[in-house]
Amino acid sequence: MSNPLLDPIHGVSLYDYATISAKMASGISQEDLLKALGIENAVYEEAAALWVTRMQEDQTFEVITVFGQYFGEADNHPKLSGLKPQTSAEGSQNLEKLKTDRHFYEELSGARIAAYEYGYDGAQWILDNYGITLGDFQAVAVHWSNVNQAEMGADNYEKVQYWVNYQQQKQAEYAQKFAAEQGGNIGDDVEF
Amino acid sequence: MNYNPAAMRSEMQDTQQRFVTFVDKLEIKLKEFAEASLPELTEMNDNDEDAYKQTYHRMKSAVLGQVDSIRKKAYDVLEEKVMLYQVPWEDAALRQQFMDMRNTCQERYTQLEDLIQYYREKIEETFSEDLEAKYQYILDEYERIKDKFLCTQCGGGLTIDKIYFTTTYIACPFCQTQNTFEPSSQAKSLEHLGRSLAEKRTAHLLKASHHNGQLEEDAFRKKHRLEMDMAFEQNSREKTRLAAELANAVQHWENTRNETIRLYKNYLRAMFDEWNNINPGLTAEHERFHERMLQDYLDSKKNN
Amino acid sequence: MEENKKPLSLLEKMKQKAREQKMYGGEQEDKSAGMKARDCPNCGAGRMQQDGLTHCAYCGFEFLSVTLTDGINIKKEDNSPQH
Ligand SMILES: [Zn+2]
Repeated sequence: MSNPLLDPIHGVSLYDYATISAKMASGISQEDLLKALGIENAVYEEAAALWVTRMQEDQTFEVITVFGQYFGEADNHPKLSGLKPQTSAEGSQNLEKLKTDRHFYEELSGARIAAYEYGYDGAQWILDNYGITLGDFQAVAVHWSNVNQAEMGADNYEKVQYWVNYQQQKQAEYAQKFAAEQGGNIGDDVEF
Repeated sequence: MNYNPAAMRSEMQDTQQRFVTFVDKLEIKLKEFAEASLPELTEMNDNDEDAYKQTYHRMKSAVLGQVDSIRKKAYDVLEEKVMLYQVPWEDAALRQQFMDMRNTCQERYTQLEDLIQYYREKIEETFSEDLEAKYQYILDEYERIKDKFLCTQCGGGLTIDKIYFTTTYIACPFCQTQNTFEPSSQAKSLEHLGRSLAEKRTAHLLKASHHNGQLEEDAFRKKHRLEMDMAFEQNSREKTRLAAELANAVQHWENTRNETIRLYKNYLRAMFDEWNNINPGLTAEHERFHERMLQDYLDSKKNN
Repeated sequence: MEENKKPLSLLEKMKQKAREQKMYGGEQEDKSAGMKARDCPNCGAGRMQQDGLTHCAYCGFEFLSVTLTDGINIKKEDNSPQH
């Protein structure tokens, strides 16, 4: 039983659309992506607008769920995998680590939240400090979210809780660092 | 367990006192900071040149972060000094005092949270954008450009026959060459802007439905209370009287509920009409979204 | 007085930081509307409405590597006839 809401639009599949979204979030130009796919702006813009409406009308959330999965597999796309953002050697290393080392992933997730709380653009902060683009970060997030889902499905709540705590702890550490940089928090003078 | 009841009593008293004073002081800091930041944020919202108001949003996020730092500070102390305080459970008097301390401090903390919530809302309210003006810009731009373009091949005049929000092909009526028309960034936002604007224009209708939802809840509670009374009533005459009252209450609840649904449907229809009016190009798609939202709403009504 | 200075100076610092930060992906610039046309890069022929959008009518060059479906303004009929 295939869902007609998943049919390509102007030949642009949901995988194409998700990959383009991921790659654009990594700083690759729409022009380069469309050229590699062999389509023009007019075709892509209609397809993109209609993919959004498909998500809106889909009561089962299947379109958006599959979109998320494809987003995480952007680097395997047959026509677009070759288009990679220019990253430093350090950035590529960090990205590999992000995919394999969950402590590192949870640490950066916590840091990103703390960054926003201290007025940084969290996505830019990760790029500046670790050379990882937003698109790559989000794609890896899909992977860890699947791992998390599997742990929950297996009733492994201890593990789930461990990662929640770990991220919160890291968030607090980075918050402290950012607070020190701006000269403290507003409640610092108040003592118990 | 070895313990000194007198020392513990005074320690708990002291902790309770200090926690209340501590939160008092945090509240003063919070008010001072939040009150000072509100006019700054309003000013930044009004003067941010960038269409996405990035500077304003970063500042707002940082202000909210500071507000939350107050909450975290209070919460950490509440947990460490109050919640995790150890009393010998077998000592009824100490146990009672611990529970009193916990309640008093918890209550004080909840008051702080309420104040934080109040300021959070105030901070969010500093955001405003003139959607009508953005839409008007698109309408004016269209009038300005609709007859302005020439065919890149033969130079003949091209007419942009409607507001396009995606890049499209326009064939020259003289030489049949396919020209590619790319709308402005503003026009490209029409679909998204259209929804926000439609929601804003019909917000009063949604509010009317929510308001009726409150009445529906009251009616439901009354019905529920009567059902309880009925269940425990022994006297058969009284039971008959209650049954009649309950029948009325059920009727009233059903009427109110139907009215809430009618008002919501009314809002949804008006909202989508506005959206279709602003961006007719996706009317068929909007209609299917309308169906879905209505279905979601009716399903949620079925479950309570 | 000292009490009052802290939140204000902190606010000033926060404001400064918000202004100095750059946004991820750089500032988005507003672009105005434009019109252009694409000739066949292979044989130089123009692209005519009756020949469809996907292929060059003269040399068969592929403008679009997809089969168009019914979209918003672009329709199935905009596919070039099969060779
Ligand atoms: Zn050709």
